[in-house]
Amino acid sequence: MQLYLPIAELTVNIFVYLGMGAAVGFISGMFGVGGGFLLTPLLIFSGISPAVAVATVTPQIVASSTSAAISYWRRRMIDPQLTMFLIVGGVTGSWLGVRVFTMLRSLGQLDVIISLSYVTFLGLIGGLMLREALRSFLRARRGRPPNLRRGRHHNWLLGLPFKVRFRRSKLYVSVIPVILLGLSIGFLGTVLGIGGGFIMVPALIYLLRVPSNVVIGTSLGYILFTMALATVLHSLENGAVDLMLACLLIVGGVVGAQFGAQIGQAMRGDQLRLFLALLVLAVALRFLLNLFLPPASLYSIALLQGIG
Amino acid sequence: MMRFLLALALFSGLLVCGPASAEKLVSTLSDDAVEITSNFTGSNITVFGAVDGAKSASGERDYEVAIVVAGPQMPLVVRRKGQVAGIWINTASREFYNVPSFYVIHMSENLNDAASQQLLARYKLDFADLGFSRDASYTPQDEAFAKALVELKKQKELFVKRGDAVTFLAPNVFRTTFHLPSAIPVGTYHVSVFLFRHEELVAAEVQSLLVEKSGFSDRIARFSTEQPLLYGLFAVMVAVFTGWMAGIIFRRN
Repeated sequence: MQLYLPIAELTVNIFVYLGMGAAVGFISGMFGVGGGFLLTPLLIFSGISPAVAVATVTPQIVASSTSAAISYWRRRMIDPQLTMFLIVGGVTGSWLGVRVFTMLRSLGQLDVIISLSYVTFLGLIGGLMLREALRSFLRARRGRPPNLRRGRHHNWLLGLPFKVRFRRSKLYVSVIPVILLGLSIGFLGTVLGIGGGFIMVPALIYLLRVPSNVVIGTSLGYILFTMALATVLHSLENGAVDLMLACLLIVGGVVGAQFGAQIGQAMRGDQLRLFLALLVLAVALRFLLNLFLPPASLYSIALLQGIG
Repeated sequence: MMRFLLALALFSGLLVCGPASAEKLVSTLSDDAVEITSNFTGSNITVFGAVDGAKSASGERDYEVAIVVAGPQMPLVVRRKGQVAGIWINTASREFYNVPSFYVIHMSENLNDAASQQLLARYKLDFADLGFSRDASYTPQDEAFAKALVELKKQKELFVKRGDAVTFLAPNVFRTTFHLPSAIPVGTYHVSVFLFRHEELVAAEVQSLLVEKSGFSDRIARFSTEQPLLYGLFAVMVAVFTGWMAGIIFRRN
């Protein structure tokens, strides 16, 4: 069945995009990640312009984090204060991100910057995750108990001023690293069309030593707000959010996520992390090839102003 | 405006040539508007034409026809990739100001085979003759960018030239059908019909064809450009509501 996308200005087969949403939803439900880092590249590789792809994935991330965020909130697994400070940074970061996005787009360098950033961040995070997963996988095989010890508090980040007591996280830390963290992930998320949960969760654990019971909920709450803001800003600045495409992705995504979550619960944690690491690295590799292989056409055309 | 100029050209042509070529060209489109609805997959438009007062006594067909469908003009930037430290990156760009978003040329068979370059150039019946305007500083080497632009447009089926596409149903009645692909830009299109005999323009006519978004897809596109803030907020509401509903539906199971 064909559908005309009013913003992307393309006629597409709706089952392709429902399926794409479902596949990414399945993976995100299985691993408990947002899936933006998979969905945005898939859209770009399928022929949607990077600008529309990045902007349209933001409401999809909002939809996929909403129901999870509500359930974490009910179970009191979100630290409201910590989320607040992260959002303060995130608002600034999103705003900066949209400005940079618009600027890169008019310079004609948006595509290459998106590719380079995906290679860098996915490569880095994927590499770290792979190392971590392999270690715990090997430890489990040797029959030793997994290392659950929380790191000691001799981090220089924690010595900074403006300390605030975060009660649900049982933390007393400076708000500077919290706001900076929110800012940088908000910036990246807005430019790259990712929620950034796969960066936020390890950062909260390893940098700020946030206890694991509130990490995911807090990250979700933060992502929900910044991506909602990014949706509005992308609509205002670039007019690039395609509501029809977003609906296809959302419907596919929420259904896929349910089946993914069931499979995910049946799998072991270290196996899941290993697969996720390999998946992240595969996407990074795909972008790497994109950057270095000769393009099909040396030339490209775009409208001088407005949306192409 | 274009219609007026052509009418003027036609009129002066008539004055010069006198009654010897007092043929009248009549043409019509199968539709005068194309509506891009939610299930738009492209469209076909047929142009019919007849020559009134044709000197067909001899019975031989000596008319040739060219039909051009031109979309609204847009300023474009053409970018060329080059390798920087092994990475393919846009390194050069040129801007062209009046590129037709869509340009389809259909010609009758003999015209395609025998027309002179001057004739093609005068009536813009070849992509090389479109002559996109550009900065005065551009050098002849920049022509490579203009050529690449035409090639890219051809790949998207937005620039098409077909040599044997106008068929004569009778010596003075002709027809052609052109295809509008799904990725067509919206705006006012001009359909020009040129009638030639022995390399000379006998008559010409221009009609407009409106291509517009319609129905639901039109409403969304308008909403997005006219009320971008509300549109963004609405998108967030749809997303939150769907996510919340999904949470409720699937929790029961």
